[in-house]
Amino acid sequence: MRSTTSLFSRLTLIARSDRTHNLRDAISQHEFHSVNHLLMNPDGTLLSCKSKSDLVKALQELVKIKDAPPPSLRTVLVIDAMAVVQAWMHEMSFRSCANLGKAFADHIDGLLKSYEAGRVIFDNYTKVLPIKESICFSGTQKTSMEDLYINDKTPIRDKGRWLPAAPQRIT
Amino acid sequence: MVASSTTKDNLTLFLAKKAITLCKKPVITAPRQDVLTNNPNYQPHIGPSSQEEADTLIILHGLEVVECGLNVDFFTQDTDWWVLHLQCFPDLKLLLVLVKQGGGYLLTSV
Repeated sequence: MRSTTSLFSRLTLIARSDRTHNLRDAISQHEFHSVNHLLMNPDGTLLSCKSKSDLVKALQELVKIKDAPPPSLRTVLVIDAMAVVQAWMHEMSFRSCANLGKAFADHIDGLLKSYEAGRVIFDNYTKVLPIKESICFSGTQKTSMEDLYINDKTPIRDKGRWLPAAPQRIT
Repeated sequence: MVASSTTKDNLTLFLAKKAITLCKKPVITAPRQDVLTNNPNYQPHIGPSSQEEADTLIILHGLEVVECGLNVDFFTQDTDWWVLHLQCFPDLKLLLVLVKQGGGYLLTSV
């Protein structure tokens, strides 16, 4: 009711008045008119997106994804390192940090293959209360595991202890 | 379960040093508040930064690259910061070109 109050008040105003009102001004400019009826249910309510992943897939199918054009000379590639590591490490497995470090450097070199140089930028985790953790994680998730000192010999048994986990928004 | 900030900090420093020592291409890394390079001829002008998020720091680095007369491309897994920094695109001489490549997205100058 609340969403249609404005429309019905205009209709009531017209019904009780004479015909000198300009119907186009009174009704046609109502925002209800600008919503495509294909976005609505038969009862007039808006269709809601129940599956975001399906929507993303449908939108991606509308876009032609091209191969990357070759970079011109004198081009530098700036890389968001931890975002890349996060996705990349979930797909691969390593037994030790020595393997991880070597694979990371090879991965960066691969990305920079056609570039003059690169810049590898990391998140800064030295803050006592990082903004990201304070807004993204609930109190129960904040109980993190023991700190790990990382060098070439450090074994990797559980990747969950290493990664900046994918943010889980508080709902 | 979430890795502790100390663990993540150790990991970023470890990976940054690995990139510096093992990468064959000239590379600048920015872990913590530091700036490191593996090539004496490829020195950054940007100083230590207190920026917490790489999302914002990469823009500062991109702007410095452009000020040096070079072109800049960005490679990231996220897409949200493109929206946050659309206003910088003219300064970065960037057009929004979404190119999926190597498990991430390449934002390239055209």
